[in-house]
Amino acid sequence: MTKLSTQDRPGQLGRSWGGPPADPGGLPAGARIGTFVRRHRLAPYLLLVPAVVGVGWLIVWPTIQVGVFSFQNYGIEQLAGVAPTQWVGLANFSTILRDPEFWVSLRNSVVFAAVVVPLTLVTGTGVGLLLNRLGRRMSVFVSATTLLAWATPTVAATVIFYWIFNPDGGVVDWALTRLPGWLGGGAATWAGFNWTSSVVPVYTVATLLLVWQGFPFVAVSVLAGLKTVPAELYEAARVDGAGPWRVFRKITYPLLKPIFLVLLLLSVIWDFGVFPQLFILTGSGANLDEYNLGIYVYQQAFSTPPSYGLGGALALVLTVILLIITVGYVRASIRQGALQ
Amino acid sequence: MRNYKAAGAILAVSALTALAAGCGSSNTPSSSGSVPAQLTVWRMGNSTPAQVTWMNGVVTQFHKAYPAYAKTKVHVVFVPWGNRTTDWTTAFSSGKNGPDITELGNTDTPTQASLGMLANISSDVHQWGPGSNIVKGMLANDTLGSSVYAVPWFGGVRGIWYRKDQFAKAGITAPPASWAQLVADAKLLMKKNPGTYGLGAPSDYTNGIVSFIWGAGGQVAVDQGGKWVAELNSPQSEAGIKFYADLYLTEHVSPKTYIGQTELGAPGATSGGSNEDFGLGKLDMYIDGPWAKAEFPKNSVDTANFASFPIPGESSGQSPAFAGGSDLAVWKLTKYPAASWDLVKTMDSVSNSTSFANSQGFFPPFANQLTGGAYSSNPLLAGFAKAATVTQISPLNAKNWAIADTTDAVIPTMMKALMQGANFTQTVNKANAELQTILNTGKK
Amino acid sequence: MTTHPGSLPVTGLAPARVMHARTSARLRAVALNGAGVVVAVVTLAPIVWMISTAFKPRTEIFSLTPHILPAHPTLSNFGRVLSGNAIGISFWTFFQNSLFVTAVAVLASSLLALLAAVAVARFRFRFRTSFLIMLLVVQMLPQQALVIALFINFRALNLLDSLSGLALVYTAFALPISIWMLRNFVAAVPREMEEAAAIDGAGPVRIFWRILFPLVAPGLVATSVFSFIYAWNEYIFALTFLSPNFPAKFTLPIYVTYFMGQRSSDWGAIMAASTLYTIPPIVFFLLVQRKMARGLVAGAVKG
Repeated sequence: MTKLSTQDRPGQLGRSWGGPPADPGGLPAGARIGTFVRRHRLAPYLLLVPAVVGVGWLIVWPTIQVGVFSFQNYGIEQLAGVAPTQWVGLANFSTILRDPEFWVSLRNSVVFAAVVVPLTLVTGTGVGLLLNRLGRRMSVFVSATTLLAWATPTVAATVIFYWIFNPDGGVVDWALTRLPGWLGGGAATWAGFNWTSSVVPVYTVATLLLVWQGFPFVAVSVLAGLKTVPAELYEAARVDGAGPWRVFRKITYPLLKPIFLVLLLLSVIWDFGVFPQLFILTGSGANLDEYNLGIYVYQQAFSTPPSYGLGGALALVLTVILLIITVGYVRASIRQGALQ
Repeated sequence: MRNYKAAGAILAVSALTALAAGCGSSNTPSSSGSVPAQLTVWRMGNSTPAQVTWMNGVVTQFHKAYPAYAKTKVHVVFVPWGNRTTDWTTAFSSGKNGPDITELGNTDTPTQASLGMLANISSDVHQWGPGSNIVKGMLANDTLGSSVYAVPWFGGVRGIWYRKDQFAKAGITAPPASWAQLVADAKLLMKKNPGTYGLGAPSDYTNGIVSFIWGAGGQVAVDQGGKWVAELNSPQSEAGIKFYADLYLTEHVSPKTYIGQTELGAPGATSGGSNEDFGLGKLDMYIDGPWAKAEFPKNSVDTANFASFPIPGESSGQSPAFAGGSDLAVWKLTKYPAASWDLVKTMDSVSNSTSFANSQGFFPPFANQLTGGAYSSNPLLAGFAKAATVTQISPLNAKNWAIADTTDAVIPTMMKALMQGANFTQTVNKANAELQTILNTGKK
Repeated sequence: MTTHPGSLPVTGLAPARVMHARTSARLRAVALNGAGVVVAVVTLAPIVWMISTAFKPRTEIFSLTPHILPAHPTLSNFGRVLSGNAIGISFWTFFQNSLFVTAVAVLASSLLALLAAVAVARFRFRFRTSFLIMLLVVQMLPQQALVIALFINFRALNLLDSLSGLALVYTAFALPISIWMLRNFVAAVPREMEEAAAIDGAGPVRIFWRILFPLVAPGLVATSVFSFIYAWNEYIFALTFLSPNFPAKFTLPIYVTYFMGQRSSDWGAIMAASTLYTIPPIVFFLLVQRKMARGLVAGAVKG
């Protein structure tokens, strides 16, 4: 029984795009191509200039500035130029690390990301697999509706979910009170249940919201990936008698792994410091036990009077944490050749 | 001889002119500054037709009263409350596109003044006729050290809303004069009106909770020689805090849903909360100010019987109410400080501030207006007017109060924890220590 | 049991088993379509709620029992939003501003990202990996922290209070993810086609426009959707860089804040504004989603 795996078709899958192709042997063409590449050695740099200038001037340079602020007492007076900036060394960082609210926010962020990211990936993958099996018209219809969710502006989406979970007049509480007791429903528990006044309920709502907003992107990416899998692979697998789970494990998943890893990385970055949704759901900063790092950064840096030095230090701390979390993936990607 | 007579005549004419100035007839500008082509006024909130009409009236008066400015346009800009801090900061830091005059919530004024965004108008205010009539506590809020940085424009205090017919049916002949009576009345009303709650006590309600702390004779924090000392854990303050928390915990006159909510309900919610419940008849007594009228649901019941009384003292008298409201200030970076102040004077004249305040459900900042009986005949406003005679602001005007209350939510967090059953002494002590640190350092 | 329509095993099966396979194939199709409908309904539900609320009068918004359809639908919420009375400027002004800023950001970032993606996907050069990693790292920075630094820079350059300045910022922030995505699409274009063209004597510019660009177009459309949604929704930079003294320059996200009061908000108007506000991204989206599916198909897996 032949074992099918991605390794059998190196030319088609997982091709690396580094470097010029091997000389096919015909002199004129090979020489031509070699000259082309050599003559245009500067080409990559020229092509990069506009993007590098844009990113460098508007993102990298401000990042460095913010890094500098984090070691200063930068506030409104300094911003307006009416007072000089002073170096405070690591004072901002120690303020953050000594603040119990920081650790609460960090814990909430980590646990939240640990729940939302896998849920989003699993849901998106499930929908992607579904879309792959549907007929053309149905697939377009369903993918269009899921992308509607993604296109809805964040604030509007958050407020809608807020209402749906509103203690007075919200659909969820209304429905739960009418559920029979043996399903966990009933008025005693659910009438007027306030989803936003404590941590677990509010993060449940936030999870549903972010999964709702996030899974379409995953679904369509997965669908795209699935569409490149040649039908023959699946057929051969079925001829060999492989069950659906084995097909998924041996064929589908390895093919989708690069996508999964990209999506995983992006999702972790986005969900870890997610701000607008949590801010609105937790009452615009009123409930400290519900903060995540996104809200915490905003409150520290933008309340009155704002402390930009502190905000800068926080941003750096957040970035370092994310780097630590994702360094494992980045290294693996490099090893796997994804970054070559 | 002739010189004295001339001098006397000149003095008399000057006095008459000054008097005339106070009455709003033709004036010369406060000082010979240049005449601006345009003055920009930043108002908080958003525009309504009524406000536009009012402002147009003021501008007409301004042009008539100061002929030198007859050609000066007045450009009114509305800034949503949520955007105001960013807008002030960026205007101040960029040095451009700031206002000439800005409205401020009176709790914003001390912070903005300390950041240097507001012009020092001490001498202007002292020379201003109505200035001596301003409620002392309100002007104190706008004063840093010995310099005045803004003038109060309108103010409001909280009291307790109730329905006259409900009281009558329950046999309550006079508003409660003590906390014990207040609770007894609440329970009685609950009995007579089954399915309702007696007195709403939302946990996210610093400006209401402080009345009870003050009413018990306690203080939130006191300024001792430049250093703040928090006093939430003094026996008196704790009595006030405990009373409020017990409205839910032991007396059961306030429902569980108000935990974590403001007086308007959960932030951002479309329904629920003590304001709506009172309007719909599900709550018998409701702590808020006269401005709450605008928030009641359209299908409120029995609105003709709405009335108010001041929050009673612990055993007698009144509990001091927090005086909220708005101020007017001249922007530090304005090119036309003199003209701006003249416009402020017009906006804040006794008649203009009164007409504006009344239309919004607030009170003008002038003491004689409040005690003059203008409101005592109005059953709804009479209680609030009475409440407005016993007010306190400090420490809610402290430089770092916004951090303590809005950013770190010390009192709401404390009350929420207490109502959820946390240990009383521990929770209050923790909040107290936090509050003191924040007030003194701006950080936890 | 996998099913691939039209790929039933051919040889050596008894007719009964073929029949069985065909019926279960049909059943499976029904089940899948059913699942598809469920997904669509669940996904659409919140949006339907938003639109329905936009048509409800205030009393119904506050009702205690949720009703999905308004009993007395009204256009007054939309009226308040479109008239712009809250500020005194028409809704369409803000709409145009948002559209301008978004269009510039989408076009500029797509072009710059494509150029960069070609460089990264087609050439090997020294800082290639570092550049890619840098792009990844800058996505980890919370944007709110960068606002003040950008404010300082723009203040010095007199770029505040301008929609063009805003468009510049949006372009820059859309670049990292656009480059990352386009890299895959460019890499997916078979090198043989370019080599063939080179053999035929085509210069690099011609190769780029005649061969690479048309094949990458679906991918470009994909990244433009990401950029569109980003720029269209963006609020913090817009609020910081645009002074309230010139409300005619506001973008739509700022306009919506005028319906949020100090203590309560005009929810009917906010939902009406949000509904109107979702239409352009969705329209843009429906227009390009066919090309997008193709684009993602071509590019997503490789690399």
